[in-house]
Amino acid sequence: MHIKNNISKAATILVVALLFFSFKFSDWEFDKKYRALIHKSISEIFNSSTYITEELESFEESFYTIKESEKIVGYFVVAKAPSKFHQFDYYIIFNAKTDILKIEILQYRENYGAEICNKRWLKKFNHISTYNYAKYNREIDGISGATISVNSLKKDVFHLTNVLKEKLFNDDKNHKK
Amino acid sequence: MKKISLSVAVVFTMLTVTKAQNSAEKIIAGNQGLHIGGYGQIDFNLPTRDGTIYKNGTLDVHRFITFIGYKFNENASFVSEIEFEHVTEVYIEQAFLDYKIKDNLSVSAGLMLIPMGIQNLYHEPPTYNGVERTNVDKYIVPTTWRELGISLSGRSIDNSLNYQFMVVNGFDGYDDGGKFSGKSGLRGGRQKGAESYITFPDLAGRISYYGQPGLNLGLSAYVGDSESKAYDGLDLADEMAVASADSTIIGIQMLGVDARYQKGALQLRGQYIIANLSNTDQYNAKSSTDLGSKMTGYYAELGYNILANYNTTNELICFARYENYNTHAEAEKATVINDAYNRTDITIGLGFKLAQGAMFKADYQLLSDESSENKKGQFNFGTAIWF
Repeated sequence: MHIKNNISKAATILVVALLFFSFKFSDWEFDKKYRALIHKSISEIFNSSTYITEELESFEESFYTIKESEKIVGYFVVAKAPSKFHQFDYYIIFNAKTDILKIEILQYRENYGAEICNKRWLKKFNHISTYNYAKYNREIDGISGATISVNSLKKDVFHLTNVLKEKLFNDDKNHKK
Repeated sequence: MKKISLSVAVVFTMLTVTKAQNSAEKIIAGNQGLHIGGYGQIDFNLPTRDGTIYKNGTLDVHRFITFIGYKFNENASFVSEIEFEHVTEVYIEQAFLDYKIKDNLSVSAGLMLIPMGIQNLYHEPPTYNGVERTNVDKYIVPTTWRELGISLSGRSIDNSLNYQFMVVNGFDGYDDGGKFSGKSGLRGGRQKGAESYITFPDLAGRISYYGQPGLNLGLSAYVGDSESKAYDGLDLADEMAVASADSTIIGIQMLGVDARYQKGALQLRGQYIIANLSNTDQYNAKSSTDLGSKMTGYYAELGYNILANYNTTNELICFARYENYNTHAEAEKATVINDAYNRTDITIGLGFKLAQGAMFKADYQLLSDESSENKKGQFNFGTAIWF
């Protein structure tokens, strides 16, 4: 019930946004596909079919909380990053402590560099430390022939993870005050 | 004076392009479709003294390329590369319109890179070790090999496969004289999209597999006949004329396998190219040249990033590479095999990556061939840029 209510709420907002910004119809279809993929991953990772998601309003990017019985069990973000001429869409799922649990590429448009979609390679991001960029960078091997997309994804994931950590840490500090 | 003003012009152009990239960023902010980038290779080659014979060094802005890409919409984009080689030679390296039929399938038309070997496709200087591109790619592939045609590119992300097939115009083999030679193989026949002509279309294809993280395997093939101006205006009913024209054409069957592996500090690379050339006896008689009937080239390279365990995003890669390229692996009876065409290069060097896309390089090469015990040495220094 909660999931349906939230999806129809989000759908209404999206339709209004669509009308306002005049997006192409095909974008709406992709949005449905993305939701299906993300839903599958969240259900598997958290072993839950009763979770609900809520958008985090204070972020520029599309961050959401994942809640089970009113308790936050994790977060996810849907993002775009540049490849050579195009952009690729992807999402990150975090646990409640903001450790990365999964990254998956939703749509890769460029002719070159699709190697970054390889699930085994993406697993290297799981539970990675995003405290120091040099160390983080070393832990993920480059891919010959996909240099631009590899670096673009690395930078974006590092940035988004730290954005989330910082915001939650500040919220926590303010809350404790 | 001319040379100085040329260098100034190049520097000015580089600065302008850099500035253009900044102003391009402003354009891009308002115009999401435009993308400008570039790459450059600047070399200093210093041959070692040959006994008592002194040798001058050479310095060269070997390549300077500007990418201009435009994304019309989600499905249609234009990709181009304008190249200045040795400052004064202007070429177009790529120029094609790409149309995305489906998510993982697109068709392109225009001037495109032939998908043979690693460096013909991935030739931005910071992506390979060594100041110069490999001689296997220069003489056997031959890089930069690009022709006009239509290509279908696709991939299966689930199976970690990329594939590409194209129909292109082939090499210019004969234009009032032969263009191929024993020493340089097919290199002299590249048409590069400059008023190219076609007698017969050629086919090229490549499949690459990246299922194992860190490993990228490629298999390339090229099949076709070379082009000939002797066919232009040919009366196909005139048997003698046809026979004469046929002797200006060779058949080409080229196969390449390549592998790249990267894990942590370690980088490995290998490539093997073999080209079977048919009808070279008639071609050599007609063109008074010595083209081989089989050419082979291979290399194996090992690289290691010394700074891998240090707290830095800089890289210091030391590498060693062994190459052999032989444009006379086989030759028809009337052509004497020239051992000087069976060449071996050993390269050891360093590459220092300052930032993503910016490197200083230095290496030493030992160049030899089967015709003599003498080996030539050469130091190379250079900058490699990609943005």
